[in-house]
Amino acid sequence: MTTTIPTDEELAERLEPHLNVPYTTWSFFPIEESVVQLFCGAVEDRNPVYWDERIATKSRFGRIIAPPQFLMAANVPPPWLPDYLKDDFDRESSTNSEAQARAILAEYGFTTVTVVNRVDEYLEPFGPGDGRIRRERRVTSISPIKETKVGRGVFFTYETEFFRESDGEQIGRSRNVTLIYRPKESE
Amino acid sequence: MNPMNRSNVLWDDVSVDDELPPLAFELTPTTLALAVTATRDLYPIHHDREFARRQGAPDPFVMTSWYLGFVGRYMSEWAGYESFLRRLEVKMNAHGVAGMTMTAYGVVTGKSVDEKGRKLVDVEVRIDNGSRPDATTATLSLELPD
Repeated sequence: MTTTIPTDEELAERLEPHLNVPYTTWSFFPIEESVVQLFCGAVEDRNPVYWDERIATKSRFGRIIAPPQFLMAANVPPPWLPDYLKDDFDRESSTNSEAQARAILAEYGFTTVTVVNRVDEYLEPFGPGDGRIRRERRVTSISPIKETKVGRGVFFTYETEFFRESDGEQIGRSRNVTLIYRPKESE
Repeated sequence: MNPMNRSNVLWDDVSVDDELPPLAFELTPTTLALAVTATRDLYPIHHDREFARRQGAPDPFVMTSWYLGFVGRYMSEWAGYESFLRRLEVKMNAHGVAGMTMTAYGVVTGKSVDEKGRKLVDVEVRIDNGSRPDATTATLSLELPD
């Protein structure tokens, strides 16, 4: 790991080729009713359009749906994979434009990620039966290096558009501002 | 048994400056475990105390998705199941860790009709974690029935 911190110009020049280069991935898991209900359980959400078919079918949605705000959770990568699948998964997720930008930041010790701000727009309801989610994602900006409470790092912004597998409709879009930093203690 | 606390709120019935009833939620180690299970988010900062502290956090803390879920619940509990969240922005200013009671407060800040004829209300939500009144803030647009 490089300990010298680059100048703003050096860093921006290295990152520039990886900005606004869109890439496509799929959620690993399909939208599953049991996970939707665990998600509701974690915040004790009793909305019947997530739970009760009798009410959901008569609602404007016509079926059980997932809370739209489940979109982020629906797109979390698998926590574990067997080696014969993991190699492919890692290869795919290390060659895209975003991974290349992250790899550059990691050289300077900027590896811990925390979400600062997230904006979601929910365009169409989605739910169990809609399959997996296709994501079109790109890094839109990376700030110069900043000093923060938790350590030195950069603000890393990416935007994603989400489409359901069942009919290809766009269900949402989001913008995430994350802080990617090097914890103070490790300096 | 009524599956919701109240009937569906109609757009015409809502006025700017209306305050929503507060909603409190006690975070426990079990809540954090359930949040990890439900989101499948195994980033150790959300379940491993030593790891969280090495990253500068006081303890493992609930993830963004938990706040999204909690604010979504706050809206459907207020407005009913015919409402639909159209836009949600959250900003995390301080951590939510086990032992804290998170209390959401909301106020209606706007009313509009979008280009597709949807009736929207804008709501600002803040979540007090007991030590900071705006530990998390959210601005959102909620679609309501006519």
